[in-house]
Amino acid sequence: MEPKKILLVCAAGMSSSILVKKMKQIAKDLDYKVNIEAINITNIDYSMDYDLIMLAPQAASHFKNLCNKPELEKTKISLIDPLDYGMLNGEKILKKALELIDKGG
Amino acid sequence: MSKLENLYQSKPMQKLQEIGGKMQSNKALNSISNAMMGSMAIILAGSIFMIIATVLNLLGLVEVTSTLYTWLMTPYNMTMGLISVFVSFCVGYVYSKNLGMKGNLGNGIVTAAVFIMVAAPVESITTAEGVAKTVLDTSNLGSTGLFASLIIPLAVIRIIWVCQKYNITIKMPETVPQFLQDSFSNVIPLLINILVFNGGNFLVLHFFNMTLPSAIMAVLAIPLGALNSLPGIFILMFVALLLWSFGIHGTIIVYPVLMPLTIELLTTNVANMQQGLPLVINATVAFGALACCGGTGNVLPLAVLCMQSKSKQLKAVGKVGLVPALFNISEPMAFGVPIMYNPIIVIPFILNPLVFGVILYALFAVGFFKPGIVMSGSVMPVMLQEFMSSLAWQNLLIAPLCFVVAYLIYMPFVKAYDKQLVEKELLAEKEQANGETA
Repeated sequence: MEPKKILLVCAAGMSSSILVKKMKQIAKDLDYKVNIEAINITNIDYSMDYDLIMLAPQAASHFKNLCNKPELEKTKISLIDPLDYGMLNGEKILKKALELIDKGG
Repeated sequence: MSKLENLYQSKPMQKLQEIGGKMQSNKALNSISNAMMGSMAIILAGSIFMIIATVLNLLGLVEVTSTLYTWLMTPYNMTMGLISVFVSFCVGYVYSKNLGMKGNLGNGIVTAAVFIMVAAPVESITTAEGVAKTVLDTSNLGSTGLFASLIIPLAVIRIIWVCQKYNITIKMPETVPQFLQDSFSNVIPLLINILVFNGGNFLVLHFFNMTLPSAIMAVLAIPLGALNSLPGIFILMFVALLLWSFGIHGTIIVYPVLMPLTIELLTTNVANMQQGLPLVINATVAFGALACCGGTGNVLPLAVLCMQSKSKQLKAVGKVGLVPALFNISEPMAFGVPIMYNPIIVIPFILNPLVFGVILYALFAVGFFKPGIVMSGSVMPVMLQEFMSSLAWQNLLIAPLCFVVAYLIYMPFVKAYDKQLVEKELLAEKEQANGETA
């Protein structure tokens, strides 16, 4: 099975990269097959066919813009809970992400 | 407390949040912020050579007039000195991308071409030795042309956008290959842009005897002059912090105004240093107080206070947020404490940079702290950023001083919040214990 592609988006791409590091470690420990990246809102590569794009709380105002992008028709887009984000709770966010991907099949 | 908590539900606050959200997702503003950040890398690269030249000069090893010095300064002069050209390309490229247009790269090139055309029209001069030369006057291509290089590309891209939308392009027979059609598709928008801007430039030159970028600056000078004052900078800081308290990245929103002013001060000081003139400051130095000790709102002392509190939640947040804060990343604290929508912590969060801004400006004004000569835009550990940008040891003290001031301002509020949380945690524990026994 192809690893699932998850993209974390924040305003500058810095705080999200801290979180991605944690999520990658947890994915490795639990043996999940996922590909996680962090990026800032402007540099999203829309041709990458991500399974899920997660927005950091400070980038939440871009949610509508992303939902309306025709290139992202197949991509799920979700908001990260601010408290989980603040606590850098990689495990909870990763589990939530996989749940979201599985739901749509 | 209940009154304070209702504050965020009030009409004006909700309206402000709405406006902030709209500004953050505004495609033009977003393009400007990102173009400035995208140009950071070359500024930084050029600055490294400038640091070497400056240090050698300060040590008395290299004269300002020597060939070596000139050679070392070339990378700086060709990056910072032409910064508006690069920025105009970036704004055009990012805005085109943000609008979901076709041919983003080509559109970026068109904007840069149009910008150079109006900012530095080619001239023929004869040097003192009698040699005829064709030259570009770079005076509008450096930091003085920055605002024009933010505004002109937005208009250029909008013109191309209209052309694409209404299909104003060279019609080719169907048999012509697609890639050829694409390469011609930009010709008409470019011609229209040239007509508009080069024509506009000619008219401005003819009637007011200045180039279009100078005219744009002359018009902008009035509002910018007002913002580039202490009250103006404090208002910008207040707005940025207030937006952060809604969880909106406020710094990015005030960036387009602030960044060109900061870069301009920087280039002025580099020139002053080379000519042996004293360094100058403007009100933008006070803005440094916004994020000099742990990122926006100086949250490093807040992280330490959290670690010292009694509540389990705050202790945990402090631990998680401490290391990012040491690298001036404030998000874990902002969303973990949380600061946003939490009036009791928002008060010191907004108050401490404003108070420290006054102290910081005063110490700059008396000449103790030194203004920046190097652009150090990337995230650096606490203390280092101020030092790297000025190369003055005194500036190492900015962050520790800020720590003390911010610590004292956060302390009573964190204590009160801690007390609330401890009570809540005790209550939750009791309920859980009751639930288990029942």
